Amino acid sequence: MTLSKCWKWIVKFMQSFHQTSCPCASASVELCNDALFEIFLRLPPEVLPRFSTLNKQSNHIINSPFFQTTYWTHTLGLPRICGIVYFQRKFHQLQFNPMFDKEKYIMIAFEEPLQAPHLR
Amino acid sequence: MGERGEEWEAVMLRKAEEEESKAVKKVKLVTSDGVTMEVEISTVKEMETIQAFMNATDTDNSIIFPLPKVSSHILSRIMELMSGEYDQELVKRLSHEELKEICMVANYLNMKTLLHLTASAIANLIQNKSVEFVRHFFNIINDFTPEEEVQLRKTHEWAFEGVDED
Repeated sequence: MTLSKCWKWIVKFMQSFHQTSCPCASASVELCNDALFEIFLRLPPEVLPRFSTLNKQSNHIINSPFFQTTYWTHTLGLPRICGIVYFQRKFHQLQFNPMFDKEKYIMIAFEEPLQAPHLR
Repeated sequence: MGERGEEWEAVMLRKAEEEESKAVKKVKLVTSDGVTMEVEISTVKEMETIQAFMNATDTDNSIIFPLPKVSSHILSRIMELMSGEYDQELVKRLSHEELKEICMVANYLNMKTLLHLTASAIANLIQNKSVEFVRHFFNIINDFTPEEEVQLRKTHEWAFEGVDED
C-alpha cells in the first residue's frame, strides 16, 4: 500500500521534473486561463508591441517567456529552439545553454576531451 | 445465414444503445440569472469543464450544473453558434459585448473551437486599432505612470504607426 503510494509520488515527481527541465515538452495553451492571452496569440506580430502598452498585465503577458514560446510555435509555426550547445575549449566540455530558464543550465562534462580533429 | 443474423443483432443492439443514451442523458445548466436550460449530452461534450465534472462524478440521469458566470442570453447565443456549426457569418453578427462575453465563457468552459473562433474574431477587430480604443474595448484601466508609458512607446515607436481611425 505504502509502496504503491510512494510509486505514484515518484511518477508524479518525475513527470513534473521532465516538464520543467525539458524545454521540448509541448506546452499547452490552456495552462494559462486567460482570455486575453488567447486573443494576443492570434494577433499579428507587428502589433504586439503596441498592445503591450495597454496596462501592466498585458505587458506582463506579452513579455512572458511562456507567451513568447507559445506564440513562436503555435502562431508562427516555427520550430522551438531548445538552447545552444557549445564546446568550451578551455575546459574540454560541452555546455548546453537553454533559452527558457536562464538560471538553470545543464552542464555535460566529458572525462575525455571530444575526439574531434579540428578541436585539437 | 448465421453470420447475417449475428450482424443484424449487433446493429440492433447498437441502435438500442444509441437511443437509450439519447433518451436518458440530459444536462441542466443553471445560468447566473436563474434560468434553467436543458441541454443534450452531445453538446456538453465540447464544454470540457463540465465534461471533467461529469467524468469525476458518476453520471446520473439528471445533472444540474450551475454556471454563475454565464447569463442566459449568452448561453443561448453559444447554443446558436454550436448548432450552426460555428459559422463565421453568425460570429460577425454578434455585438462587441456579446463577442467578449462569449470569449470569456468559452475560456471558462474550455471550449476550444469556440474559443479559437471568438478570440480570432476579436483579434481581427482590434489589430488595427489604437491603444485607447482597445483599452475602452476591454475596459482596461491604464496602470502605467505617464513616464513609463512614454518610455514604452519610445522603445517601439514604429508599432504605433498606421493605426485606423476609430
